[in-house]
Amino acid sequence: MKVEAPLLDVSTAVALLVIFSLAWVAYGYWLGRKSQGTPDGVMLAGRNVGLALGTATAMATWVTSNTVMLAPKFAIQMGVWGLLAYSTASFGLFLFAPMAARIKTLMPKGYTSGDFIRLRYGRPTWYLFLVISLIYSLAWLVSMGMAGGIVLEALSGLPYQVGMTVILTVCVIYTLFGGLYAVIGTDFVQSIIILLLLLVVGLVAVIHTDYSLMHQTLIAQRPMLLDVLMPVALLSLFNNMFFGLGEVFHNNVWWSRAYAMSPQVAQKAFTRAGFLWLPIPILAGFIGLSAFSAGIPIGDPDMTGPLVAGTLLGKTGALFAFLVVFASLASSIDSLLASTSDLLIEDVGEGILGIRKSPEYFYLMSKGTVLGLGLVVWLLCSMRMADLIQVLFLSGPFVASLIWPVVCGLYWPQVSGRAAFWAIITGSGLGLYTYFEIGWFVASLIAAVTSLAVLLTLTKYFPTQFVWARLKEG
Amino acid sequence: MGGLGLVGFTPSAEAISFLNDRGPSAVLEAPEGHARLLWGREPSKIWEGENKSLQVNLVLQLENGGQELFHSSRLSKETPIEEFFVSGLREGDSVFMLLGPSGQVLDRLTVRTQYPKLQFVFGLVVLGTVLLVFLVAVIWRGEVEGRSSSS
Repeated sequence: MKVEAPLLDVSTAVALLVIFSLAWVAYGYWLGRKSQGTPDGVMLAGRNVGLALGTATAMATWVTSNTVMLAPKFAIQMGVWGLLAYSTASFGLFLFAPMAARIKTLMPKGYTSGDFIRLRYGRPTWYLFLVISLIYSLAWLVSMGMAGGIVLEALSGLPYQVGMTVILTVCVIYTLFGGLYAVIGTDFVQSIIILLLLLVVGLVAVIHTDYSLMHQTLIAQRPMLLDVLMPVALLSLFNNMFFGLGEVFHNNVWWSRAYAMSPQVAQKAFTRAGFLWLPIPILAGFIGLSAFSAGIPIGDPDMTGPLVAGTLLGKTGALFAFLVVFASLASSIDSLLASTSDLLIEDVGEGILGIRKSPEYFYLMSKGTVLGLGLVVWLLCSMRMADLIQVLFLSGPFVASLIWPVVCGLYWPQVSGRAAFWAIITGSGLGLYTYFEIGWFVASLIAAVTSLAVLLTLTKYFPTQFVWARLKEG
Repeated sequence: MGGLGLVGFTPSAEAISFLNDRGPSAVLEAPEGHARLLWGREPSKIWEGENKSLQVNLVLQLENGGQELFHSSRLSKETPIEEFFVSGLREGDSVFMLLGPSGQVLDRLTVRTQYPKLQFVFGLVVLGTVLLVFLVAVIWRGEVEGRSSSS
């Protein structure tokens, strides 16, 4: 992905990278002093995260480079429905809010989403869940690392390897020193940067947009973008929604935040994060559509946001785009590093290999896992393999098939491990089939429908009676 | 959100090969009402000389003999390929790819069915709505029952 000329010069980009990298590392190190090297401190920030930090971390983690880069692309490819389709990912935060409160109530001592699946459904379902969740998390991490290198290269001409390495290294260092304390604290500042700068660019776009001209241009050049019955846009609306729900409901990024807050705080924090996140893709999408009235030629749809920012605000706009992308990448990479390391320590290390989180070894275990994971991600990003990105696209049906086992497992005692296992297998299988036979825009929806049908059928004919108190062991 | 793609569109190897073999061309796959179009041009041939960018229009041949523009876009040397979605096409429709204001015909395509029929699309939309309502109901009822049992 390249633009004709970088929007920022390399020296400015390097200066920004150095300043912000040092700031994140120093701030993360300072915040991490509170963790005291204990599992609760490092993995869950002392289980006492407040409303402001909880809201900011949930919002900032969900703002990835995709939110600010892909939402404009959706808008200019699928019109208003495309723009709204991306914003449906906020439903994941809204619906996870009450679930987060229940998770904390049922499992006050829990550490990971894997803990819940293991205690609730037994080992076979837990193994299946771990495979899906770890591959998805790794693919997400690698895609973010690669996006960092690609976007910084496109914005400033900074070599891919340099941009990618700097972003990953910074996130690994402050996660290493500060654990979840550092992740949540830096997320708070990063969320403010993202919101403020996007608001400025959005407002300038709103003021500069000639709505009549925009409408005329769309009718003349892209009339299908105004077609409210464009099938692919309608399908993507629900497909994205269920993809997003699957991502949020199963992933340890969100479960670790639920464990880190009190039930009351968790519910409020996720709801508020949803409201704060909702307008971001709409704003980013609108910025994309405004390119039509501004007469900005869109070569690469992925670069629409930075291109519009650079055109409307000159070098300042390019600088804003750089900072928003850097902040949104860092806020997602650090969270993923921390939560995936937790999953490796708790589920793979202690659950499968039997390595206990004893006080004398935990310090080394946690540092080693974050460092090792960071190294693996860096190696995969260095290879710049396009196939890995396909893994992330393909994960849609897999994570969507986890929606019902998680939700029904939290509220219905009748659901058995066998029902959950086969719901995931059949949902993933049929979803994957439709991904290749029809397209990405139906795969997650089909997976969610199939998974529900199987779960309901097996629960009706082979019910169980789970005792909720067993979850308190977690 | 995390899983919905990565910045940077990478067309498949087959698509690139197809495009390079055919020069200015398009891949048009459409059912009733929905199509995906992937088009481009081998850079080394078209971007010679002063050509920095190229305006290409796609028009639908109407039954009454007229033509209707349904997509217009600008390609550049760095981004010779674009992927986007269109609607309103049917199997067997003829689509012409025209070069900028000159209107020179670059290619003619016949729409072929690849994607689901419209009834299937709306069926899935209804299914998605039902699924969402059911999901909200499960969580809502679970919360209400949880509160009443704890009190």
